[in-house]
Amino acid sequence: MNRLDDALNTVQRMEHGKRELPFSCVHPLALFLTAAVFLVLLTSIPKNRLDLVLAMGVWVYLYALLGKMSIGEILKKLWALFALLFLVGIANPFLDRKVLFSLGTIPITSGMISMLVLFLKGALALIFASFLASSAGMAGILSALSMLHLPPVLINVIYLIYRYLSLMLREASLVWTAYRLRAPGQKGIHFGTWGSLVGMMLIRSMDRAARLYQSMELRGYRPQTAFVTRGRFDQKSLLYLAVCLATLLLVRFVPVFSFIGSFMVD
Amino acid sequence: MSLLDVNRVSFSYVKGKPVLKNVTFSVEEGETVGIIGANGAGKSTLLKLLVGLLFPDPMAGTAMEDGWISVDHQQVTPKSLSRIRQQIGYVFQDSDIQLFMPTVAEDVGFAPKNYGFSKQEVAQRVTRALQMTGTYELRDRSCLELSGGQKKLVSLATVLSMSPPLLIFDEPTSALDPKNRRLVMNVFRSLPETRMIVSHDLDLVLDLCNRVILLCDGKIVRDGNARDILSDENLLEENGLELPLRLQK
Amino acid sequence: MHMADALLSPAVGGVMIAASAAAAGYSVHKVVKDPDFKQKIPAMGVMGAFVFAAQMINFTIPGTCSSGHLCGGLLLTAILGPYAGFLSMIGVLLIQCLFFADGGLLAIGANVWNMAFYGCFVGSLIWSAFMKKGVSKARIILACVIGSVVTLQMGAFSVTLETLLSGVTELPFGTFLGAMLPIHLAIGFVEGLITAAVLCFVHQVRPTLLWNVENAGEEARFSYKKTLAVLTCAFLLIGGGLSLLASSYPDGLEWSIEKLTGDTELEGEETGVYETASRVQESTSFLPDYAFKNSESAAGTTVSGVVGCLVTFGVLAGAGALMKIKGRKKTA
Repeated sequence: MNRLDDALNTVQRMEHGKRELPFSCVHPLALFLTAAVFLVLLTSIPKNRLDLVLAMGVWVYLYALLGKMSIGEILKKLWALFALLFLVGIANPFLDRKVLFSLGTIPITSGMISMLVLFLKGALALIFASFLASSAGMAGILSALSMLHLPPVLINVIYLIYRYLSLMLREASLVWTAYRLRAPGQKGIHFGTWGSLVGMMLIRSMDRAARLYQSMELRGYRPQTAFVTRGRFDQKSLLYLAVCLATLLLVRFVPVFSFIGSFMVD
Repeated sequence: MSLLDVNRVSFSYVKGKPVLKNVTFSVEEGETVGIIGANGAGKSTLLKLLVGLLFPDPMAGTAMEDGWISVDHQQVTPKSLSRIRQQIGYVFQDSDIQLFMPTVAEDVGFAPKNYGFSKQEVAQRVTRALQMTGTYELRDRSCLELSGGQKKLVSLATVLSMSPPLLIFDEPTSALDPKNRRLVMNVFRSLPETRMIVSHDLDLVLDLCNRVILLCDGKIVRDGNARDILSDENLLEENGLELPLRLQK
Repeated sequence: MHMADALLSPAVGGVMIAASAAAAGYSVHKVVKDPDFKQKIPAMGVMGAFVFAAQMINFTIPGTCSSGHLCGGLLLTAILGPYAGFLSMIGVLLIQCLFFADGGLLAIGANVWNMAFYGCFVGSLIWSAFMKKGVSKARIILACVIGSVVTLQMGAFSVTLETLLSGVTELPFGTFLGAMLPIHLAIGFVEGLITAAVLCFVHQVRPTLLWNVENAGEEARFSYKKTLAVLTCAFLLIGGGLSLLASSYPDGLEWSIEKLTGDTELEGEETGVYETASRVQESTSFLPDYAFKNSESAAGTTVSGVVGCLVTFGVLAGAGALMKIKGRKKTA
């Protein structure tokens, strides 16, 4: 059950690494809005426009260079995403076989292009979401959502889930290790232990929640205030937002790269 | 009246099975009191009663007057909770329960903010509490990044920010390595407030407390000088405890 | 079942976000009215984190080599109730998409709807219906398995619908549905059993934790084997029926692929290949020139756009490498 430890590592790396990134000083709301616009523009690309998706890819790559983001770590996680994309996209080359042009001897059909576009879109969306997560952090994203008037109850719940996630992952990982040591060779929890193993964890979690409530009560907890604080939206953030949105709109709607490419094709 | 008065308090989670039976004691300003007892003696329940997370059993139907607790001349009732909780700083055994805000500074400022202090006042209180516990450099860190010892010190800072006259510690050094244990103990010793410690670590109690209350089966068995009680091997053994390591031959 | 952003058009994604936001707003309204509201918030947080971790635990399925997982929405509902459970699930799904590359930000509305809305609200209806006359192990198992199967089928149906409405796939509706429903029927059955096992244990040890359950209810006579046998029969019947339906459908997925790899179809392709190949030989420029050299056709823009991107990408990659080398020299 490496997934538990992988997840634990992910959470810890995110918490440790976020302050060193260049874009971390930008207000989370600017980061969030950029991500939202990026996703809308990306998904609005028609299914046969490989050039536009690649243009977005170039933009993301440039963003990663300037923001010192690492793409390698994210690419490792993409296999999970591709399961559903594969189911949906794999049929495209078979069902849509209009030949657009050939690369050497291989005919390139519009179905192939649309499959590729789908996969690239999926990868780019996830890469950019993880950029947002690593530069803003969970608290930052929640403060952006709070400025967008999400109710404090929901913000607090999401924040607490994030706060207790590493604790729960560690606990689950320990429980699994303890189980495995006494049941060598098993790949998962045996049928007979299904209920009690996780049931015990569940009851402990509820007890923990009760203690957490007490500790909050003792410090004068009021549910209507959100845990996360909203920072000031400074000029730097405004500049970031303006530059990002302008360049995004440019690559999405103006065929910049077709212009560069037309020199090569001729 | 003393800083803390506990008067004939009984408590039961299930009717007819009292966890605390007729407990009476008081704590004067400046004292450091250790509360010891085997598992299930009623220590944690007693602490929860002090801060009003639980309330004493009413004595309706008996000849006895209801038990009560008062902190700084104010009786602990559902109505007085807000004030009482500003008088008592409760440091939980599990620091992860106490630290839930995004950063250390926000966590330390949680209580002052909730009790309606001004922004400036909150900032001052946070700085002071962090400096007292030697954790000022950690102020912008996430609570997820702290080590066990740091978590303990920061959770102490979260209650010091309200400058309560009475501090209560539930197992302050459990799961700490020797170096962190010493660190926490030194910070603890430097605090001017009245302190109560609940612990199985009798060496710690011996080091820090001048008075000890020994609980067994929900009753106070002995209340007196720490050294006298902690060196009484027979008494400790009768109540499910052992001599502190330092006093063992 | 997590949908990726790529499967959605902005319009469909936006509609799903609006629908989920409405459900979330109503849930917040309901949760705030709860007399235990203050206590519920930490419970929602901790339980959300618990479900997140517990969903990563593998449960071995007897008699097979595979393993299954817990059904999170149903479990949260059975402990916290539908409104609090729904809000917790939103948190779980948001963290999954941001930190674990599972789902997507634009797809969050669709994912919340497909998994949390059905899991919590439809799940709670089924749960309550079974618990109305008192709680027993058999009732917990039935509620969990039926709840899990029904809510997962609804979720899978929605995934299909949302993908098709977004226009990213060439798959016909029936084919796609034929692939999605049977897979999720099996998953739902297993997830329901695992969830039931956990809730049965909770019922035994700490019955007060279960939501909307009259604990005074009589303990019905219960046999694990009987309940399991009944459920398995039902499962096989439904599963068999559905897969028959799926395979007899003229546009079934396997059938289409089989058809596509057939001889006649490929020959047609080959003539195309030869034709284009000969044209490649004629071309002298960097890339073969087709009709699009002087034309405004979409294909033309596409190809030159792709080339432009690749070139720019190359330049940037070079610049990135240079920056790295420079940075290393600086630190050295």
